[in-house]
Amino acid sequence: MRRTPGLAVLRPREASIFAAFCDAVVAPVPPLPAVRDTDAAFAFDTGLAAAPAANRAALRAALLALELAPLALGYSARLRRLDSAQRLTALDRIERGPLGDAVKGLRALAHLSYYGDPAVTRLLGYDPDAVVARATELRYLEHRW
Amino acid sequence: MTRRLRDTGATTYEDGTGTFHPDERRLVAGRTLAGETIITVDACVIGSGAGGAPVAKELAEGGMRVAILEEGDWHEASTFTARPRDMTPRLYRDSAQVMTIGTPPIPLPLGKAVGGTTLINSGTCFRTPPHILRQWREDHGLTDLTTATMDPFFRRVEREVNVSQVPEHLAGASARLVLEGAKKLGLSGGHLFRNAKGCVGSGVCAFGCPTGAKQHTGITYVPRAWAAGATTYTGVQAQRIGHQGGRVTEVVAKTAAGGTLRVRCRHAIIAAGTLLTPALLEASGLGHASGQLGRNLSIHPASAARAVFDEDLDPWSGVPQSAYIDALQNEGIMFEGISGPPDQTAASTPRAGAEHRELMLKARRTASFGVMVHDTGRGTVKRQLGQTVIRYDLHPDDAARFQKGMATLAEVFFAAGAREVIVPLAGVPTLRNGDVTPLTGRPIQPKHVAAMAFHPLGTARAGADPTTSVVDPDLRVHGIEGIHVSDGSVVPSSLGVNPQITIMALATRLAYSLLNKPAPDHEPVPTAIA
Repeated sequence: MRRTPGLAVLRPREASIFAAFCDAVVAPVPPLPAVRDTDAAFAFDTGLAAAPAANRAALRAALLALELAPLALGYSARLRRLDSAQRLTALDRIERGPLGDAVKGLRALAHLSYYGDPAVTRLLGYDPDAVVARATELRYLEHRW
Repeated sequence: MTRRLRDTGATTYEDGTGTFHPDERRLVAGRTLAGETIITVDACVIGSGAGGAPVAKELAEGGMRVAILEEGDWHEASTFTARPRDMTPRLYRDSAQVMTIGTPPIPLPLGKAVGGTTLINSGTCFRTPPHILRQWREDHGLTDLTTATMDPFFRRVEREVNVSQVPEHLAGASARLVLEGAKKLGLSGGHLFRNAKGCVGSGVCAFGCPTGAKQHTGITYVPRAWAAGATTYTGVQAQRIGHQGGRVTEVVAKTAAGGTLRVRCRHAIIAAGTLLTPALLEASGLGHASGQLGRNLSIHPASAARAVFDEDLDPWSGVPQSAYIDALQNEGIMFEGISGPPDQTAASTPRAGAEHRELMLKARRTASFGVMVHDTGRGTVKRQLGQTVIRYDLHPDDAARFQKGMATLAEVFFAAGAREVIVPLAGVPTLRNGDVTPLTGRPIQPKHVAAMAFHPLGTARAGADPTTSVVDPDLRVHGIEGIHVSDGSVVPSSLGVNPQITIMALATRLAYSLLNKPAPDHEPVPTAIA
């Protein structure tokens, strides 16, 4: 079941932009769940909360810049108003410009955030709970740390 | 004299019994220290990782009163979730968002916890290569650092952290396929040596080993230090080293409660790490005479190729970094394994959109392996406006090494039966049908390389000449008594291999020097070692 903690750092608008960005770079189709049905945005927010202030500010500014950048490139709408395919094309063009490093960094974080969702992880065949269960037993039986 | 042997094979690697637990965990949390706290010890060690923990333990066992200051927290293995995304903000400095500024920007993940980066590294263990020691003797005047003089310290460290070889059945499918492919191409390699005890191949070494198998310094050296009377203060950040009349007086630290911890000491050992030690020295007005403080940064840039096979591999099972190919080591190219759960893989897989998605849907059939470059390039670390700024540009020669390394790795994967190979070099399409010419047929520039780095070294380098080094051959900061550095910053050159054993051995040697003890001559000889 998806957890729904509050946002520690991101404003709802920023979280929405991130979700749109995530949707473009992940491009989920069934059986992969939609970004909105995962905890990706919340996980990104948690990571931001632990990041240094300068990174936090830069990533939040980058989200806002990415939201507006399509307009500067001649698209008729902001990032969130474009469809997924248009967003990806726009981001590809943006990545070749001065926001390139920001796009790359956010993309890695988006992939990490989405594919770390428990349901997505299980879908791909990885069961962290089984790893932890075996570890718990070993630590107890062998008096490990 | 008949020397005892220490077996470094599968039994040693897999036996998880016999873990040492002290009677008392001598831990004081900085969040409980408001106001001003003053303590007096013989030695204050700043940092509990590969550089700090061994020296703290040896000094404590040698009879000194020791305080260990650690900026991070103590983490119980019972709290490790085997989920990279969720563990990263907890165990890594700045949520693993430490980055170099340069072409290209390179993430430099560091640990921030009791155990330092040894808590989140891959656990690979190599001794300092003999030709590197020779280079240090010739270029830096470190004439006492020979294979023979370092051997006792290597043996002691390797015993303390149980360095042993990964057995084949725990090595994971990526390693199996890569070694098969390497053998077909006549490339030398094998299974790595790691600091592990009772490993079952959980596959999350870099995110907190949930079985307690990875023998990081937090569960090896630190408990031994506690048993000998040392105390670890967590959530404490050293701000400056006080000195007067050419001698150390105290270490001043800020606590998580906003208080001040003053540690009056005869010896201050700085083990804050390559990226943070220069700032601490600078803030203390130390180490700047040569102009080398914060310079000479090497990082071993590294990246991974991915290869899709027809069979299910479950790449997150087994030891993530279990094997190596060293056939191109003389060219500054080392191949080492890297794999992990889907979220970790997704973050470092090139491509976006549908192309990335399709690769991730094949994650279960995807192997990965890494290329690590013995870098030519050098960078700097400086404190600017309250931030640590790391400048590093990938040298064109190192970009060329990445190109050759990735091409070789692709050939290895194809020899092992891969259908397609994806490399982290911009503009290079997915390789198919054994054809690597899309990779080799064009020049690769530094800006085309997507890399990470895990071994920052050199920013307070050791040397005999005080005009070209920050610390002397005994790791004492030039020009001051009682202040030593014991971390990767003293390593005067890029190593070409994983550095933790080098750092731990130098730390152990430092402690023996401070105790005026001869090198240990009773340590068992490993039956095999890297």
